[in-house]
Amino acid sequence: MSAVDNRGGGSPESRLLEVEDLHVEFRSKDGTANVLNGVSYHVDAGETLAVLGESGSGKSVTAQTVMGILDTPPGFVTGGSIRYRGEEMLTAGEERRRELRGENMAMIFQDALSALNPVFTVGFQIAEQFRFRRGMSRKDAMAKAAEMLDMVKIPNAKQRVKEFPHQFSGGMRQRVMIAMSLALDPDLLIADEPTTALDVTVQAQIMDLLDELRRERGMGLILITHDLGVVAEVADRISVMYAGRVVEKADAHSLYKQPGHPYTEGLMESIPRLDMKGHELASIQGLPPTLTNIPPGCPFHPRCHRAEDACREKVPEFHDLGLGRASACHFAEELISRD
Amino acid sequence: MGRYILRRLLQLIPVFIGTTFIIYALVWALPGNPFAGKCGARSCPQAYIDKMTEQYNLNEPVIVQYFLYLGKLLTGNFGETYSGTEVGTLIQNAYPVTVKLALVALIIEGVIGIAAGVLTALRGKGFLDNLVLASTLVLISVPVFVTGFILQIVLGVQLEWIQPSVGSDPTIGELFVPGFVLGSLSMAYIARLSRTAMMENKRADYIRTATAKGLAPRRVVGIHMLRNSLIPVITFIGTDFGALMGGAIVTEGVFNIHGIGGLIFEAIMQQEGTTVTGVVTLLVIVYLLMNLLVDILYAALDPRIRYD
Ligand SMILES: Nc1ncnc2c1ncn2[C@@H]1O[C@H](COP(=O)(O)OP(=O)(O)OP(=O)(O)O)[C@@H](O)[C@H]1O
Ligand code: SF4
Ligand SMILES: [Mg+2]
Repeated sequence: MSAVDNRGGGSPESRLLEVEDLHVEFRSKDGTANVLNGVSYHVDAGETLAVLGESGSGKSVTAQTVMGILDTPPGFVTGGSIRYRGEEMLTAGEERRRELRGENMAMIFQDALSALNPVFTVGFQIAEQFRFRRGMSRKDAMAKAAEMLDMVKIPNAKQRVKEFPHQFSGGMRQRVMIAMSLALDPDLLIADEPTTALDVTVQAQIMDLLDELRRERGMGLILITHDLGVVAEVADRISVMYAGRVVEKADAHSLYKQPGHPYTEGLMESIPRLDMKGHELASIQGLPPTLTNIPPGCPFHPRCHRAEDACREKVPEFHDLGLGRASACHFAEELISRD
Repeated sequence: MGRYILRRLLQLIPVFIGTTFIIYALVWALPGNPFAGKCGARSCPQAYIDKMTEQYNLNEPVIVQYFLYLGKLLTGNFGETYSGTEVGTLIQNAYPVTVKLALVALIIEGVIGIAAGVLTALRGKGFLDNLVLASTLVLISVPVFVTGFILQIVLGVQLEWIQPSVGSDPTIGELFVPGFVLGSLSMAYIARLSRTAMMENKRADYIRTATAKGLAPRRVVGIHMLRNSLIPVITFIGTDFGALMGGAIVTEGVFNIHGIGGLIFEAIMQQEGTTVTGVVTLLVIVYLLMNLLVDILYAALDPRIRYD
């Protein structure tokens, strides 16, 4: 599949990040949850990959595994590969991975209030990276922290570095989080639902800021969200996840025009649309599978309106649909050739 | 903040009057003749009794006695014992020893308690965790005077490592074992408190952020996790200082330390009401002020807390 999957011109070796067939399970007394069952995606420098999927589909766990901050135990990587600029991460030592964190890859989280340490000023939390990673003096580091706040367009940055996270509004706090993640100038940024906790008007501002920073710095951006609406404008490519797998991947344009997987279709129908105001919001019936007991065949079949006998027995292959598109549905070709 | 402190200080007044009145009433309403045994084997001469009754307003109702007492107290006069010694002087002699003992106890319980709690939280299940769990259970369930006597007999009498009985002006070294005994209960509590706090913070989102920033584990744990986990522990230690001063009675009795505890113990035995009320009043003031101090400290440690 990778032969056709060369948007952005990168060969597999020059890829910024390549995740391949990643398996992660969470072990507990009650059994083993198969949280990731072969996730593959990649992102190149300067492009935005959106990762979509319902709650529990494994978007965050994939990101944490890439960053090397998975809670182990209970989480264990049981297979696959994560390559950053061709370097295998899963076999790299913890010291090497720590070196890369912040400096090469960084992450921002959904809830900036809980993701920032409540007892330290935001300046302290940004400056500590300059102090302990770059060996700067306390004073210089603080000045750099103020510069970072300025860069994410927080007014009055010089004063605000001395404030604590709870003194910022939700949107400003997420800007602090972005400033902090970009402090060491990483070339890969993973944003895990950066706008979910925010007001709709603020959401757009934060998305614009992220997009602008990505462009200026030529970063690769992985944008995790379950909101297809947010994605439409900023994403170059989209990977849709279900039950710990990528079930469809495509460039944003073709995906919106014609989804190649019934699950993606369901997600699209649940976007609130202005012209549909007053109509009942369609959503996918049923619930995602329990990860300790994923149904045989296509994991989506109990909820799929197209399911046939074959779906209950045979796990669908990834069907290559050309131009970097692929879908894990037995009827992928049919789906995209509809009009 | 200034207004908050003022308000709290004003609130202290009714609390202070209420508690001291209860103490006063209890002490002076104690059954028994306060002059029994004061004059050797014979009963006291009537002249002496009259003089004392006059001096302590013993003929007045308790409430009047109390306010007369309170009036003197506010001028810094703690009154006199029956034998004519200034209670203020007695307190001045005994207080520093008890403060010293309480501080030693506080340091021991803080250092050992926090170390045990933090280490077990970081190591997770295993030998150390079980050891600390078992020993805190023992410390919590065995009464302080039993711990005191055992250590006194084993370390003092049998092994002769320490003086079983401490002199009148003890050094810090001499107070080490008594301090350990006095602080043992709180030590067990601190160990558990810091362990729980560390376990809670371990999975906190901001710890994940700190790791994602590429900080060294040493810094993630030692700065980010510890700083947050110690907030409840430090406030507990602050409150405990007031409590330890009062709790020193038993420990001082066991190790024969001439502190506030010894003073109060003797005073109760001899029905010296003035001394008892004076000392207990002082303990109440210290306790109330420490609580205020702890609340201020809490706001200093956790910037999210705002009074006013
Ligand atoms: N620390 C953990 N311990 C146990 N299970 C976990 C842990 N973290 C995640 N999981 C499980 O892994 C599965 C995937 O979780 P993940 O957070 O990746 O979902 P997600 O796609 O990010 O969902 P959301 O949109 O809600 O953020 C869930 O079923 C979750 O319960
Ligand atoms: S394989 Fe079958 S069940 Fe699965 S998505 Fe396609 S049609 Fe639905
Ligand atoms: Mg998530």
